[in-house]
Amino acid sequence: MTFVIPAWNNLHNVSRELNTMFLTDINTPTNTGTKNGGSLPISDLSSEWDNDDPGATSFLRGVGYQFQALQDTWNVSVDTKLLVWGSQFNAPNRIQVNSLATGGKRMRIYSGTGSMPTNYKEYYLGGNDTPMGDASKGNVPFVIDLNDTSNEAGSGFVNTAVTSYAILTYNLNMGGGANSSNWNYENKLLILDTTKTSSSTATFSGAGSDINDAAVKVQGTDYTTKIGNWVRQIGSVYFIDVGFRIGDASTATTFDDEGVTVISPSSNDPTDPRNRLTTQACRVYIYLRDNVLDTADFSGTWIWGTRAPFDFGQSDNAEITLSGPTFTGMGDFEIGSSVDGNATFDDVGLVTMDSTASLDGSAFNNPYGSYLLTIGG
Amino acid sequence: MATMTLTDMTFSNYAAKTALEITTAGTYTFDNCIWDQSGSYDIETSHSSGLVTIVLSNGSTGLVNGDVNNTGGGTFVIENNVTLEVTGVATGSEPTNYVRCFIALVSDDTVLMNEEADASAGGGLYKATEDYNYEGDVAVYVRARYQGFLPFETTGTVTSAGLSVTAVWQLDPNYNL
Repeated sequence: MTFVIPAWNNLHNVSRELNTMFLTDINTPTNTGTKNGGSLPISDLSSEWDNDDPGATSFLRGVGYQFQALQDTWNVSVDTKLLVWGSQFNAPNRIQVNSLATGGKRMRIYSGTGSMPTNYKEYYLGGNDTPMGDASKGNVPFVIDLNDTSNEAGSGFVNTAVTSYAILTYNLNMGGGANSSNWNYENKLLILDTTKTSSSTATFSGAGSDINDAAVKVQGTDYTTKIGNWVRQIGSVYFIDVGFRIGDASTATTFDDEGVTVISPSSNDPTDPRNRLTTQACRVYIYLRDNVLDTADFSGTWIWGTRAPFDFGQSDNAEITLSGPTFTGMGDFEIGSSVDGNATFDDVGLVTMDSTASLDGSAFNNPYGSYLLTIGG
Repeated sequence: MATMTLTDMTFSNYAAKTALEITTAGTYTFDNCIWDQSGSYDIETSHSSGLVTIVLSNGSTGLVNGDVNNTGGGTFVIENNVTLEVTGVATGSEPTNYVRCFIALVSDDTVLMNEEADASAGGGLYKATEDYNYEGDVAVYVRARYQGFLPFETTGTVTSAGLSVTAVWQLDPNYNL
């Protein structure tokens, strides 16, 4: 039972100029190098750079990288990809970034080629007045859907030729010395797909799989195995900041949500806009083998912050059992003939039910779309 | 042609919207399904051709034609089967002879049920039943007759729950005098 993710896009464990994907500095960050204990797990090195200036002057600085060798492009116009990263600073006197409104912590996504391409979209992800920069919080996760268009700045970006990214800060002298300094540690970067059939989509797999597999994968079993914070757990409540699939249609898989609560984030929350998500970002698929031994059981509460569709459209020998789960907030819900049982669908998109599926005993409430349920197909 | 049975479902809080869309001709049975009727329509039939038969049974709320929005090129019909019942009668000579039970519309005497009470109701008494396609509350009169017993007649209303009448069943003291 595992939560499978692809290999890291970039480990960011060397000084930025030694990183094979390094493109260029943006306005000369200083003190570049590596930091012991700056990554996750803490045993790994992180790349580091400083945006440091005397007095009250604010500067925008950062570092740019390409996603792929030779600046190969991604076309995300049909199916998006997710940039899953974490922002980490040094001690509180080294987190002197400007406010959210002025773009204290920023990400850019670029299209086109060049030493630093000129076509980009820029996201203001946080500042000294949001969780990303208000304290020494360690690794603060964020997810950027490469097809999201809620960026605050930038121009010319095209989603058919995505090549590069940059991480930047806009500093502010917040006291604690003559200089305004923010010291940035770049943790490992992950790129996830969001489609049903891609092996680079996060996947619950294997016998006895459950939501906790994701928490174990990301939070680790102790500080030596923690790799990020984009999956979090508080008791029986799990926060998962990306989409995923259950099964890969190849590995024998039995999944049970064990009655827990699963929460997916909203996009561009005005008080904490770290996550920028289209309705493709947090899609959920069931993708079991055509085999009666492959099962997925649901009894928990699934609360979604974006209208990502849920694909439970499997119609073969796999068995998907609904034992009273509650689904709320997501987009359209496809129900195939492998599904049997009852659920509450509250404020979801259109539920489309195969003519041989069974949702007997289900409650449909407060439709997001034009109908609660569509049948007949 | 599709055939589906949906059981024990509830549809609620769909103000200004429609609860359920049916996209393909066929027969759709709703067994104990409840619409709170809070929306513009309870069902939309968007099929392009053919007939959609909506069968409502076992406590499904009494949808009528006006609750269905037919937006496709096909047609629809509602079969809202409720049960008409007259019970508590007996000839004393079942199964050779049965009491005749009769239900008709007050408005125009249309006969809704004309059946023998040939099903046991327990305690030596019998009942007559008939399925009826509910299309709205209607006023009816009910009669049960058999020689040797006082004729039973009453009135009632067929609702979305049907109608069940227990006859006041008495021997005729003047029979064969």
